[in-house]
Amino acid sequence: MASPSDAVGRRQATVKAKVVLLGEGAVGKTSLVLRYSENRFNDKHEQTLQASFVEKRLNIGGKRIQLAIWDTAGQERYHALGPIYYRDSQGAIIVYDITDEDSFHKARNWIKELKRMLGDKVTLCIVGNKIDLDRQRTVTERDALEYAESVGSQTLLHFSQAEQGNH
Amino acid sequence: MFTSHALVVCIPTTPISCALCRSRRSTGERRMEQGNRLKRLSNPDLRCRNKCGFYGNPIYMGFCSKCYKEQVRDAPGSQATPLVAAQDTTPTKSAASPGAFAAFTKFNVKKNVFATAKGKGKLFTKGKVTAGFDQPKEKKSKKSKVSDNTFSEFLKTLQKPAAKDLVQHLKFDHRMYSESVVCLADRFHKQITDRNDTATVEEQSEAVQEFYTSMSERLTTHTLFRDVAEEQQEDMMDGIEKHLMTNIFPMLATHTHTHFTSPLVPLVPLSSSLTRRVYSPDSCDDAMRDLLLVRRIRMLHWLEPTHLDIPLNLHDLQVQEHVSASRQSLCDMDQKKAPQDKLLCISRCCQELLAALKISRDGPASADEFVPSLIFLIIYTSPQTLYSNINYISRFSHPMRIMSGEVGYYFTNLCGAVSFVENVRAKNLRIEEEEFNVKMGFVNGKTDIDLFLMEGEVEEEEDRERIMVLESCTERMKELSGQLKHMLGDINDLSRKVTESTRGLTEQVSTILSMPPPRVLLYQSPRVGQEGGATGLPPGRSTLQAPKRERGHERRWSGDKRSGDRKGFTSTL
Repeated sequence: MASPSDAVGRRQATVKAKVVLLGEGAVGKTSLVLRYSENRFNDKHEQTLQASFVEKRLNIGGKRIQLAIWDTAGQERYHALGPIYYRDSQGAIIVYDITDEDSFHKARNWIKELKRMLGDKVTLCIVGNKIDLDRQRTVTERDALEYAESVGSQTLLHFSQAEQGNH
Repeated sequence: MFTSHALVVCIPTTPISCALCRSRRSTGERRMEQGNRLKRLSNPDLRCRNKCGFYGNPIYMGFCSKCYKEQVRDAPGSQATPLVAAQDTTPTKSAASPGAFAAFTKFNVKKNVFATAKGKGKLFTKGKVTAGFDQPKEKKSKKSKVSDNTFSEFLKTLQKPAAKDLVQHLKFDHRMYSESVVCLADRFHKQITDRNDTATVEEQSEAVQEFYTSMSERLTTHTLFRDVAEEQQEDMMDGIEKHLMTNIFPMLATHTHTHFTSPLVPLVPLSSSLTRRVYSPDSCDDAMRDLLLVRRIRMLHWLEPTHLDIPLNLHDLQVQEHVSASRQSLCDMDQKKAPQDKLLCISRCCQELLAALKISRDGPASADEFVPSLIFLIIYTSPQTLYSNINYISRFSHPMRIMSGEVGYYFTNLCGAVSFVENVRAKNLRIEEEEFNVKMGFVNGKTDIDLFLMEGEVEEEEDRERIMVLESCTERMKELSGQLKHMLGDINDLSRKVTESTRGLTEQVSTILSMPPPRVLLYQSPRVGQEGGATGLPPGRSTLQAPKRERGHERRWSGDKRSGDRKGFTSTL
């Protein structure tokens, strides 16, 4: 709860954003969300019931941001449900597995679809997961970076559950 | 006898005694036990109603087991099963006897229609004091009263001037809304009579949404609410929405319900609840979609959890509990009025399902597991009015609620799951196309929708034939009743004529008889008597006939003479 002193400016400061989490099944979306939510607010998410919907309150430069992360089912068979989920979302996190060329291909499809449906309003973030398995890597970092630049993705992250580090 | 005995566990300390043990004990044992038992049986309410000295049991209607058996045996035709069994078989709330409920619904609808017919001006008369709103005239349900109470409670929590303004604003808007609803209803009626079914629910929904927008704008811009915290503002909107929806619900129920004019309606089974008329009105095809969804779910009965890769461990008791709670919440949605309450049911359903998933997976579940499980849950539960509920929520709920937040996420998932069920194909279940078609009962590549439409056409054709037969029957009936009327008139005429002529005849007879007998007859009488003897009539007969008339002696005329006389009579007529 904010103190009474900043009561006047508070209303403008709270920004609500919906971020949709896309990516093929078993690329590690769940672990990504869990790591993200539990790293910052340890005590609150210890007893996490689920990793499908996560709400985060951030404070960036005095701005209060309420982030709602919507997980989606990544299996191909639920691909058609995509539009229901990413409708009205401000951001999208697209996850792929660096050891799985196919998942990268799927990620590109997702981005194409997002661009078509949401236009340029949506902020994209591409995540290459499982970099601890670098030896089995099939998607090169250079390819991924080039692609990220070509679609105007704001960030390209590499992430690993095992090493607990972002690059 | 022994099998039933085996079921009764005989523990000396338990108050329920065993009927069979009584005879097998020695008298000494029995006496000792009786002493103990008398102490225990100090409470007369617990004793057998037969006063046999043993404990009674409520499941045996207050008798002990032995007396109950005797009672049942002595009274043939009485209920042979203990009450417990009867309680077990009573239907649950969601599966209440449809017949009785339908009748009640009909009654309610009639009541509502009557209320509307009474005059629209009178429909919105003096309201409740608690919040000062105009209320529809219909008797309010318990629930809306509760909502009123909670709403007034909620108003108390606000700062005083703000609350006052809110009430005023609401009052104003509520009246505006009422009027607009009346207008819409009028237009709707007209459209129905013109056979032009356009979606008026959409207009109603628009009116509600406009109200939400103006209300939230006011909350953010008005000076009175400037100091109110954001969370509190959201609470206020919640309260307003809930209050509005609970209160206009009967209004909507009245105005949206009209005669069934949609051609698809005969295919739809009688609605299971009153609420259904609101969120699946005739102007849209919600009811048909509901039916299609239920049929599709029925077609998918062969679906196993493995088809969707569901990690639910349904053998685990805890998981089972969560899943059944989840299903219950999904069904409870039908009983709620306000969109929020319905949404609450959805989120409870999803949370229970996630809890079940967490136990099954031994870790928090993600959408990869949650979505398939929700799909399976819907197929497993087969809710009757899911589609209508979803549409009702999306029409009348505050958009913020279903677009964002955890509830919004669950609602979106539910929509997704329904859409998956509606559009499921063989490749979605990773089985062969042919196998899928066989399992779904699709013939010659025709899907259930094709079949449904075909069925509809066939039924329509049949209906038309039936109507034709009925019409010809009515025609014939009319004809027959016309004939009958004609005949009845004839009969009346005839009977009147008959009575008239009878009266005339009687009068003539009495006048003629009262006159002195003509002399001619007196002269001829002895000859008549001879003739009578000559014809061989037995003398007894003539004497027998004599006392029947007053002038018996005159009656001894011969047959041909009498006929001559009769001719004379008829000629005088």
